[in-house]
Amino acid sequence: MLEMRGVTKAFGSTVANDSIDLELRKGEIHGLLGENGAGKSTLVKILYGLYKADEGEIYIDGEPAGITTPSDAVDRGIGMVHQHFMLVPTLSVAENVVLGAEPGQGPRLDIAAAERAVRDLSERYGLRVDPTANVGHLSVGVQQRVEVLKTLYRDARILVLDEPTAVLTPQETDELFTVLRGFVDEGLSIILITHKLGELLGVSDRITVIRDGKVVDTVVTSETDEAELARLMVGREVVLQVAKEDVEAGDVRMEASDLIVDGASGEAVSGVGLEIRSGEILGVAGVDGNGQVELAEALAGVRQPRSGRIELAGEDVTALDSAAMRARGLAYVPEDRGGKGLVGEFTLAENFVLKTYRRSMFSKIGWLLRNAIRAFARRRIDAFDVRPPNPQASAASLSGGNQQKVIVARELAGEPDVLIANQPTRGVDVGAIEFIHGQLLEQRERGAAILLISLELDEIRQLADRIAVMYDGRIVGEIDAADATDEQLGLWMAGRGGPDEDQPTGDDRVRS
Amino acid sequence: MRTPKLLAALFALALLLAACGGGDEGESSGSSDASEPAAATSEAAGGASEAGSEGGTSSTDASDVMAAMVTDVGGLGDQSFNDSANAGLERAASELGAQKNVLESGAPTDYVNNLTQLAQNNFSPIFAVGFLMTDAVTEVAPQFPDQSFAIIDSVVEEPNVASLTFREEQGSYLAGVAAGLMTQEDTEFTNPDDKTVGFLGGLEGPLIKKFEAGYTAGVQSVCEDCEVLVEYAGTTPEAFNDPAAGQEIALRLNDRGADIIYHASGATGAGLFEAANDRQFFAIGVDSDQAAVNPGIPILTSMLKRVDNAVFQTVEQFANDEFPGGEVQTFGLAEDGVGLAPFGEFSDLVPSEVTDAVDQARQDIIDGNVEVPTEPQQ
Amino acid sequence: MSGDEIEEVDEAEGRRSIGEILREQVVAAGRALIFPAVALAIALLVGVVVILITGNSVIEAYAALLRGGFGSRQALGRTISNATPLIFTGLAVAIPFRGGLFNIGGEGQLFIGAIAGVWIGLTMPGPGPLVAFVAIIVAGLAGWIWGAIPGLLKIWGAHEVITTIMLNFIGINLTFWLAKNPLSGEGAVPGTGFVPEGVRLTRLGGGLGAAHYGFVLGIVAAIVAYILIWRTTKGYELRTVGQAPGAARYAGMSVAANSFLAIALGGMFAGLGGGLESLGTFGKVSVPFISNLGFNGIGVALLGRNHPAGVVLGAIFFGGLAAGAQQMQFSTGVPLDLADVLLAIVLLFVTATKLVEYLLGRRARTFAAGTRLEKGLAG
Repeated sequence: MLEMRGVTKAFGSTVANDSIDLELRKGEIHGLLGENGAGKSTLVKILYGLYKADEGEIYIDGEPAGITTPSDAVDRGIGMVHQHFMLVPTLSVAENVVLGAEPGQGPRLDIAAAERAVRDLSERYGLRVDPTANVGHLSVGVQQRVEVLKTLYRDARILVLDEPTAVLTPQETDELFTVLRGFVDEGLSIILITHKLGELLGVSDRITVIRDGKVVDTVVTSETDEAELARLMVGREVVLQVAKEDVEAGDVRMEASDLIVDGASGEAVSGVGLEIRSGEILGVAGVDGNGQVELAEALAGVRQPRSGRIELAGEDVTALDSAAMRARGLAYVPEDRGGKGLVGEFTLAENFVLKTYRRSMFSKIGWLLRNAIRAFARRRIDAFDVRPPNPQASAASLSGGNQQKVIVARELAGEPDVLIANQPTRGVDVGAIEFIHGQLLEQRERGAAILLISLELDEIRQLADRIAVMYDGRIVGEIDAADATDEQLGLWMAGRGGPDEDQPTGDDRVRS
Repeated sequence: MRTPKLLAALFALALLLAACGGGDEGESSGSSDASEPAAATSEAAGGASEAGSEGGTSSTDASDVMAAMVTDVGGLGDQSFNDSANAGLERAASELGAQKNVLESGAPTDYVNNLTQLAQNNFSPIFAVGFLMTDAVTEVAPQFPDQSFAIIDSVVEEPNVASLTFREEQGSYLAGVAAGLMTQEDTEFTNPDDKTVGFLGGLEGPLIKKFEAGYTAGVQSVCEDCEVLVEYAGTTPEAFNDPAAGQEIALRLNDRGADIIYHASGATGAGLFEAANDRQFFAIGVDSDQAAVNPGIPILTSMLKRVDNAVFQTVEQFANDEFPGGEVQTFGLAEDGVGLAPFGEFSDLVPSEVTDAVDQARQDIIDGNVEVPTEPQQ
Repeated sequence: MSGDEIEEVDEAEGRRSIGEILREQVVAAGRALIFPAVALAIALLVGVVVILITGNSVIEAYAALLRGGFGSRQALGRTISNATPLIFTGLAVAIPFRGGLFNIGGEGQLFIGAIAGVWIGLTMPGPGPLVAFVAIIVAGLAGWIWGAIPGLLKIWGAHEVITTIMLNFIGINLTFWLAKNPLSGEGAVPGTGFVPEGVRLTRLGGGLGAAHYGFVLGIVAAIVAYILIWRTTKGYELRTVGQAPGAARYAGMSVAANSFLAIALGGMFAGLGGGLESLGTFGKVSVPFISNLGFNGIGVALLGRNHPAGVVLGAIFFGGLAAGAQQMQFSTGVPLDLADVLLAIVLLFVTATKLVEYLLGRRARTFAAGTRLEKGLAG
């Protein structure tokens, strides 16, 4: 069906794809597995005509595909669902689907025909969507269906999905996979890109693993298991289960009540209450964009809540800024490394004192003590094995994993009482994930109170003692980690089945 | 990959060259050819300058004269006094065999530097073209007491500086006589029923007020019930370089009935010419014969300010050891320092009474029968 | 237990040998100079063609250019005198740029500083040096205020590029009005009168012509700016806000206050430059005053990669080029405009980082750090 042979692409001195061979058979779901930065996205961008390969060929049905632009790819029957959707929020589903390939004659758009076509497609493939709905009002999962419909409308025979489950609840993921199986029965072929090994096992026929731009192996799904895939992906044995010691939760270190926080577009957090105790990790699960960022920022003092109260060890700290919070022993790992956690052009040394530069050990009467800062940076770098171990290197020159280590190293310095970590492992390699998870657990054992916000349900389930689920600015459910099931959490993530579903705001306080 | 990069580089180069080449034509400064427009103008102005050239024969040993000038920020190619002064130097070079050098000023800070450089290289006389250089000449001249300087359009009281000023009001008076008579004629450009003429000034100040005063007096000497509408383009130097404002003002004056508009506004006057061409009314140019360089545009005549004559005469005086250091030289009609350009392209429309009246007025001023005011009468 | 107690830091561990620091500095400076040097080389090549078109000898012309900029004491004097205000207007762009703002208002700030300095010089009684001192301070203050206005407007949401451009018009025309009305003086050149001789800045002497002590103050200003930006906590905040506003908010720094500070500081430097120019070089504010010093400051800052040391070098380069061009038009027939052409090409290549990246490869990108315009405009 589709064959890529010897595809090579270099950016400067880094080889993103090194002579990659990939074969997609008709009617199969082919998983493309690899860590962040392994070269998966580059490969499919070449396939879709967004990048030009330095070397190598692509064949479709045995003939050279000759794809140089995305429209070539569409003509050859390739459909792509990007990680970030390309939808116009103000248009209807039907309008979005036909955009660029509108039915009707001349400039006139035959809306009725478009809606009919979309309705037919969604019935045939089991993609439940209302063609007249405004895309901006749809949930992320439904928007993804619209993206898929767009490709089907253009008669795609090969569907490429880039990390499609990143934005979905477990149930939505299952639903998507069911739909994809249906596609295969209809004769479509699918490339499914992901870094989550578990889900590939359930849905794919074969899996190609990529590491450092090279194909490591292509395996038949039914003949492999999670451990093997992990080993192929990382290149060494990976401990999949983290060893969690039993720690007795202690005093309440941080408490928030009735928090209402505004985001960029209106109210983002609508009356959240929570407690974090010493020696425990409170995990906050939820689909992206349900107020997690605003909640974290409000708790860390970066964003002033509209109303509500935040206490740190019994002290009202609602009005304090992040520097003052830090001074009171609160550490905060933000979700956005490049934009918030680090200053890319600064040296590592400068980044290590981002919040503490005013302390007397780093500056005196407004004068930076550069030697002290450098020494401090050097020690943290050594302790956290940051590479390269050079305090003068610019933060932007580091890999994502090392950048994240710098942030964690900075935030954990001085043994904070409370740690708020928002997606601390997003987009970093497995080695860094293991390291950061280990650090979180170490802090927990030390007695820190930790709030872990993550979009990865697996991560939360592995690390958290209690799990709260956030949906639409509220905490819709809370459960002891030991009692949690994916089904229950998934329902909450979709905003359904919460214990206080019918209470408008109420007291959503999570108690342990 | 090599080839496209190289191509791109070449393309960029070509673009740059094209840009430079274009700019160069406009304001090539070289000491020779840039002055051609101005030189042509002085020739077109005709016999008026002959009086000055007579001195050339009497000069004894002028070949070792090293004359130089510094332009103001307007630079060469301004088709105004910088070019005109350069033409005077050219003439001194060709007729008296003097050496010449011209330095342009890119910024006001260059004035002192340029004057100093010329003085240090033993140039003398050194002309500072324009009143903006008054302070610079005041500063530099005392440092070189053995050399001679001259400043145009201003007065510097130093023994080695000659101050060359012009009686623009006299030339403007002649322009006023022509305008006052022509507005009463019936031509395709003028309406005899509306005896209104206009004046477009550049930067409002004493210098341009002299033009206005002379012009108004000239108009009223031949047409007592004529009205002179006066507008200025502004109060900053920008007013001399704002054709858009010039056009706007010209159209407004024309709307109010002015069918002949005289301008003393530098490059702002280009806007007047545009308006005159659109609406088909008469403009009167200034400084040089602007009709000669704007063929087809209804420019009746131009008030000539013969900076070239003043420069030439001063070089000549220097060669004859008669340099008027410490003196204020005024160049009026009698000295051929100002004048009125011939009617040229539109002379057919000008009755002989008008030319006669202009000649008469010139004679009256030279003879002292008419005293031209230097400030507008209220 | 408080998170305050970060482990005791051993200072000696962070201290590096002088040799190490020196080597690092030299390498950094070398890398920083590569980019402008390549740009200059390209510009000079284009200049060759221009000179040939004008029918002059390339060697003679470039020899004159070099001689006129740096070949003699007088030449050096001209260069220094040209460079003095440009150091200040260059800093006026570079410092706000580090804070994430693009200050186009140097011209207006310089004019305001110039007229404020002359106002004190003309009206304040007392011994000359004291008056001069106060006049320079007031010039800086006036520039600060003129920079603070767009700073305030920025906090209220108006983009500084727009507001500084607008304030240029207001500043320049206000200066002209003041110079021609309340402060008007005698003389043929319209403008204020001359400040008393004792108030004017002392010249450097030593055959350096019009060059005055303002140049020394310029060097001092650049050093102060460097220390402020790279060695103080305030400068650290300012740079954080400039480079990553999100990180600044995350760290608890006030983006608004630092933006305000950055552009007000820029205004102060431009104002100082204006005051020194009016009190030093001219002794007055004439109505066709200094042309384009504020705008050329943008070029100086870009050429100097928005680093104070680079700004000083850039200003000397600009000043030297102007001085050399004068010599060139004196000795040869090459028009003054060649200097502008060379400058334009240099700036084109220094700012068009994408183009240079394309021509010289991606590696060149790092050399261009600090000059990328998008950064400043994005704020």
